Amino acid sequence: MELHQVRYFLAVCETLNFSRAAEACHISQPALSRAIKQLEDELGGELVRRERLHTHITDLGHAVLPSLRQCFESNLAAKALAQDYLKGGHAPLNLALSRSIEIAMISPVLSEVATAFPRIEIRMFRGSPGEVGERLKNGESEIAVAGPLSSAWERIDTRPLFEQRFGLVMSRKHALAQSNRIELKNLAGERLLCRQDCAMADVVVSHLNEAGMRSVTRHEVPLVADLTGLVRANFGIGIMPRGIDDTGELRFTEIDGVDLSRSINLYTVAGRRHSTAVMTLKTLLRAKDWATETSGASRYE
Amino acid sequence: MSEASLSQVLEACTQRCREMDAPLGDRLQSFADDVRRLDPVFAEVVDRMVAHLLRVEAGAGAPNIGEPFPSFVLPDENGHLVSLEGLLRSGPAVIAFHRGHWCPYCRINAETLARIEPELKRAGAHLVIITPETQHFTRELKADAKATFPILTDLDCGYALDLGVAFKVPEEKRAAMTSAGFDISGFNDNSNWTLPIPATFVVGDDGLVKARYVDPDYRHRMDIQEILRAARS
Repeated sequence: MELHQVRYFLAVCETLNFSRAAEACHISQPALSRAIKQLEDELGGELVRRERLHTHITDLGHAVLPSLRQCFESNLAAKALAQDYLKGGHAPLNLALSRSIEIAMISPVLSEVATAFPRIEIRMFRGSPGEVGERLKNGESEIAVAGPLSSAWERIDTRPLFEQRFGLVMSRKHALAQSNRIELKNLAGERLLCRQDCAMADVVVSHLNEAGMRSVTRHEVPLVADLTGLVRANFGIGIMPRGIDDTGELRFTEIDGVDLSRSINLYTVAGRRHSTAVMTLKTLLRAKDWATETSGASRYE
Repeated sequence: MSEASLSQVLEACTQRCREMDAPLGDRLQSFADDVRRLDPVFAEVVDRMVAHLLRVEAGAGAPNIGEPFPSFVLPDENGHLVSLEGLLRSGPAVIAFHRGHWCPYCRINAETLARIEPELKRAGAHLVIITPETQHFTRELKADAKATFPILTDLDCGYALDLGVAFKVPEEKRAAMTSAGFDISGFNDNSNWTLPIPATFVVGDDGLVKARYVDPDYRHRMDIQEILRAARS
């Protein structure tokens, strides 16, 4: 495929009109038609059916459109980076993270972006999934990393980055710390500690409710450090992502039969013009080796 | 017992072709012969795809000798950005597009490139491989090839599109690959089945193409002696 062929095809998809597409691409209509024809030859079928009033995209055209659009958008991102790299232009980066995202997961990538754009200006927001979604919508944040957002909006582009596994964390002094298997019923009478708006704590509580276990109390703290601090003091059992701050004093475990994992996603708003710094952050986050990162192996060596 | 997939059976062939004492072209040919012997139907699907790509002149628009090579800044297997400009600071650069860590031809090719890396270094030349795969898999290709040079991620073949070497794997080939155990949809952070033609370029420190090899037949790669000659010239 040639870049210009893809660009012209996307213009036709947008306008459904060959002369307007040619105009938008600043080329003649025959040149546009020729390029579309070449692309059709390569992809093995008609992409656009040309009619006087009802020019439309064929099934094959619809089938290839998302991948060609993505290839084209990544081309724009790659070109913008190659052009702006180390040029020292002003690079604002408004990033939103949900509270469960450990900064260590993102910080090497942010450093790399800062190397590429020495005049980067980061404004980071932390909040609930609902707040993160709102900020993306109203443009206060351009890019976000969070678990599932509470509200759906068709313009939000969601890309799964990795699976985040939660578990129980307790002091080694805790009575349950010696058990190999922890079942829901073992939690009777315990204090559960979780961070504010922790969706995984909601999952545990709903399991407890279903099992009719009302004796478990839920306690909320704003920061992960608050949680681990209280767990260390053996105040109660924490619910938090696996692999965070395992210093040996804490014991991580799972609850038998309760799946506490969810997808952590990268969010941007489709159709918005992003700065090169934002596009570069997106590239680096997508390309990153999350499997090694999240297995925890690299951090506990 | 379940039958081994073609990709599993080909593992031994990959090793054998890596160890053969013969030029890269002969070793790749020997591997292609293995594929044809083990699964003639698969080989015919490959033939049809290659014939189609040749007919539509896929890759014909790639930069020619003497033309400027488009600049790039792409992340390596550790997430560090590598720029063409940076590579060219000390001399020429060899830039090889590969399909991925799953591709036996790329594995044979990458390991052979790793072997000439010291020689290239002495000539002041840098070497990089570009694939559409994310870092988990570029790391695998690098370890498998025992390479010390960077392997770069070109997401969605966005940069390859700039050079006209990106193509969509046709439906027939995709089905054949999937049933042969080469399902690549988990490697590229997309399910687009877009791959680069495994082209190789030698770019001079002036940013102009000194040598190039662009063949839509992924079973053929640039001759290693040719690469060395161009890098030294």
